[in-house]
Amino acid sequence: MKRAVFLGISVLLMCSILVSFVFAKETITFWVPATGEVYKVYKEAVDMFNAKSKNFQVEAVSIPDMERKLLVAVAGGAPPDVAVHWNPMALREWIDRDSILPLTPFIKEEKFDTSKYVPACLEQATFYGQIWGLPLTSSLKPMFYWNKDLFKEVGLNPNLGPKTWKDLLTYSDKLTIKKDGKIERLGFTPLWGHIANGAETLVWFVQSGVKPVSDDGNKITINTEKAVDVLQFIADLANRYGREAYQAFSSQFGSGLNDPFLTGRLAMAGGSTPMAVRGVLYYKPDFKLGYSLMPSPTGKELVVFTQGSSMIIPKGSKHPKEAWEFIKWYSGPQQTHLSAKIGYNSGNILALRKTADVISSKLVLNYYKYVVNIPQTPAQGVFFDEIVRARNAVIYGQMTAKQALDSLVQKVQSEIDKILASQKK
Amino acid sequence: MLRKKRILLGLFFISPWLIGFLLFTLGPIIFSFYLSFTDYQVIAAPKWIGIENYRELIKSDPLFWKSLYNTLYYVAFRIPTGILTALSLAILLNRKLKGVTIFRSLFYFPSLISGVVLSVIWLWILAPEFGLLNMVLSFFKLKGPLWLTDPAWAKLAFVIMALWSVGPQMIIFLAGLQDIPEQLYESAHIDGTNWWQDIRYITLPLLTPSIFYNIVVLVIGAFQVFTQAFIMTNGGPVDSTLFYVLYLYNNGFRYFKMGYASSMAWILFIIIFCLTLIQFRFSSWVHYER
Amino acid sequence: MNNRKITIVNNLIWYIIICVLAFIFVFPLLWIFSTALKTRDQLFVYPPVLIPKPVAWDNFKKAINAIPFLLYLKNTLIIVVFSLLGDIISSSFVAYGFSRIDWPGRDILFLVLLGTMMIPYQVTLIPLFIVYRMIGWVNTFFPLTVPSFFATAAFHVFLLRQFYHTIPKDLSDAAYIDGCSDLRIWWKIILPLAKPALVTVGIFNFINHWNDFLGPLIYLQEDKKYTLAIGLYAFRNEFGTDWNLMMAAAILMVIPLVVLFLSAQKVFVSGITLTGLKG
Repeated sequence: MKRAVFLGISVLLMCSILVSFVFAKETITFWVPATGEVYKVYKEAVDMFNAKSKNFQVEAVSIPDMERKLLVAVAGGAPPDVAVHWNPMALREWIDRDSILPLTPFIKEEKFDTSKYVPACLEQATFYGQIWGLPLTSSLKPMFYWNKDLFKEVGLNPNLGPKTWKDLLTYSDKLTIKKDGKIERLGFTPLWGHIANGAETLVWFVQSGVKPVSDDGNKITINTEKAVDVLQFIADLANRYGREAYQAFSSQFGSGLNDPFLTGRLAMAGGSTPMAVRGVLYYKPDFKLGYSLMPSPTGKELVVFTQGSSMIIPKGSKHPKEAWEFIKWYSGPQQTHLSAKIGYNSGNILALRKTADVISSKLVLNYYKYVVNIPQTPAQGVFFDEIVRARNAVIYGQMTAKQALDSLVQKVQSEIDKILASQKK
Repeated sequence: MLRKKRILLGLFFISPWLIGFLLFTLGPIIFSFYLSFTDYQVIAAPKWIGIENYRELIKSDPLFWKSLYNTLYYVAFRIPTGILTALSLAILLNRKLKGVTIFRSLFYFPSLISGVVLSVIWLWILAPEFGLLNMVLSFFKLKGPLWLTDPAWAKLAFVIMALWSVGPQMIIFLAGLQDIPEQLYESAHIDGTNWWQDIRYITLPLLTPSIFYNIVVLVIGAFQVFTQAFIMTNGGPVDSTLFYVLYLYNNGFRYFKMGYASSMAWILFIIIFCLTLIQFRFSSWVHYER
Repeated sequence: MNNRKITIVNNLIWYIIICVLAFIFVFPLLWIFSTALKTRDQLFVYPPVLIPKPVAWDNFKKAINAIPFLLYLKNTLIIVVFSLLGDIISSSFVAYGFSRIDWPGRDILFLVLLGTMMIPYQVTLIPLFIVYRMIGWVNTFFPLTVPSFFATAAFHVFLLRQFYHTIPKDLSDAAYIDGCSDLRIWWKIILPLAKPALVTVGIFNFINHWNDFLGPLIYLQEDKKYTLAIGLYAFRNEFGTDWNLMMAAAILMVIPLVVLFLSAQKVFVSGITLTGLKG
């Protein structure tokens, strides 16, 4: 009798295990480039999808420092099924390395309407006549922000930001307080905030009419005379109040609640659209934030880049169809979590309109028509690193602006040529 | 026991190591050697390009030379300061007075702290205005440099930081000191020597094996400086702390030029090997007692 | 009489010098601890404040909450415990073969083992990574634990071998006469006698793996697999300038080492000398 019971139970157990395998919903892996709080928001949106998804479930995995790891995973043949690509200005490198699947076949087959995405974002994910990712977020960088209270304090109109480069210098001088060789408050620096990144630094150049890269992206053309002037301008701006004084000052910069812009130690800054939410209003809801596009040489060159993220299907994904289903929903108007909760403004215009009360969405709706997309080179990583290196070399007086740019062009161009050569074979 | 049986038995016992040696050491070394002659960017299969990597490193990569210079600079300062500090502390602590073990532990402890934690701690100590070091200097009316944000001082900051980890070298010296028989000092004192003469004529000569060992080990270690540079400065400012291994790591794991990075690894291996050989060759100053 | 006075004065001078030096050496730690207990506004004041008012004990709580501290701790412990097991077993096993059995070729292979200690890890770093990736071990704990089972810590094998040499041969001979196999001798006689050396090896192993940064950096991808070392690095990237919180996090990582150190001081300060290494 005991034996029979035991047998019965084990058979039941085996059956239920078998059944659960057969009827378990397929699960696809989704790599999220965030941790902690931000990851939770991603996950919430994923849960929403899972609740209504009939055929499969999505598992959101938190992967810090993702770019590096995604490449390795694809190369190793064990990539996630779907991922967020967080560096759209370098998407070409991925495509050239054959690491992602084009979405055009899916789009064509279903006659999927892509018109609701921010055009510049979609354009950024379009290469060689194919679409490779659907825009998830549409962060505009660099946006120009200022502290209205500080403007009032020094007698500037708080609602009127500097429009020209000359204005920028004048405003900055008015707002900077320097005592005994120490900076106590700084008007502006090109070395803090998103404007300090290699990619965003290019805005200064594009505003001046410099063409950093040829149309096909294969030739670096950033060492023209005009470009030399621009680089000199940036370096001079950085050193305007003394290099050592700035370094001592910046060593006290905090993050989050203690970042220099929030604490009023930096009056104007070049940031991103999400920064308005996550960097400012999240910590100080009553902060009086002024915003505009970056000041330009004559005030008329209105330029901004978009650096949002897109959803991609890595090559080797085991569930491309399911990944596509998920991508459609996650980048669609129903997913407003990222915009509403953490200010990662959506890449979908309908979603932006739904969350237009969030300032980052409002900013994108206002300014996305000014986005300029620079052609992408096959070596964006190296290119952006070298821009920063060149800028720093001039700031530290180790090279002249001309030397720095020539060296940059030589280095990056040789990298590009090598990559192109190896691709031909 | 039969000779054959002993061999089999011996091999049986060391088999884990032997297997591990083939799998985790010899195999990878050979593979790495092969990779150094290829262009391997992870996505595609390795492509044989002969000595192209080496040629490019030596002829057209200024960062290769800069990183090598940075490392040599660091090694040049690290060895003398490290040896002197460890030696001085060891001599001081080579006494049988009460509480000396507590002091020995005290000086040894910081060397146990991990590279990550050291990086974080020293970032704060070396902060330009409110860091401990500059605050102490200003107490003596000196204006400290910007340390990690000043290209002229950044490497020296690393040398200073490394002095805190003097523990292991100090212990080696202590062990060596304890091997020196008391009688030698006693008979010298009969002749009327002072402490400096003690050190110069007895201690140092008899300590040369320990000094030699520490130098060899310290050189090998100093050439591999990485973690603190990776975390604290990431090679900056303006590549003044781009040490050789950091540049290697960047090439291999940031730019995914793994063939290129493998060549760098082999050049490093050769440099360390040669330096060690040279040290052994010119080690006639070491007195071995036996 | 005079001699005694001179000695006392000498000793006093020595104590003073050594205390001053020790103070200089340890002061940074005190400073870090003090920083960890400060509120932010106390960080940037001159003249500096050593004892913070108020004492922000909740900095520690904030640091633990800012990153998934307990999760990272768990991961670190898993790695540490497994590699400890592997290291002690394999090193003591292999050392037996290098010392308690006399066989031709033994000493040459031992020289090879010593030689491997001189190979810079950078040479094997990339190939190991590629192989691990091929067999799907990236993003697992395997690359960080499995090698320990193959006596890859050459220094530990060396330590144990030296120690085994000090165990009299007669013990083994007597056991042979009783019909014991070498395996039994290793397990029943040598291991128990080698406890102090094993403890030393265990402690060195613990510290190495607790502090390991490069391994986890390269092999662990998912946030939920991270160790404390990587966690602190990520913390630095996000809260890099919240010095008080960072110092609190750093102290939390050092505390286990302090505990270990205090309870096993003798091991460190004399562990290396067990081997006559200076020769």
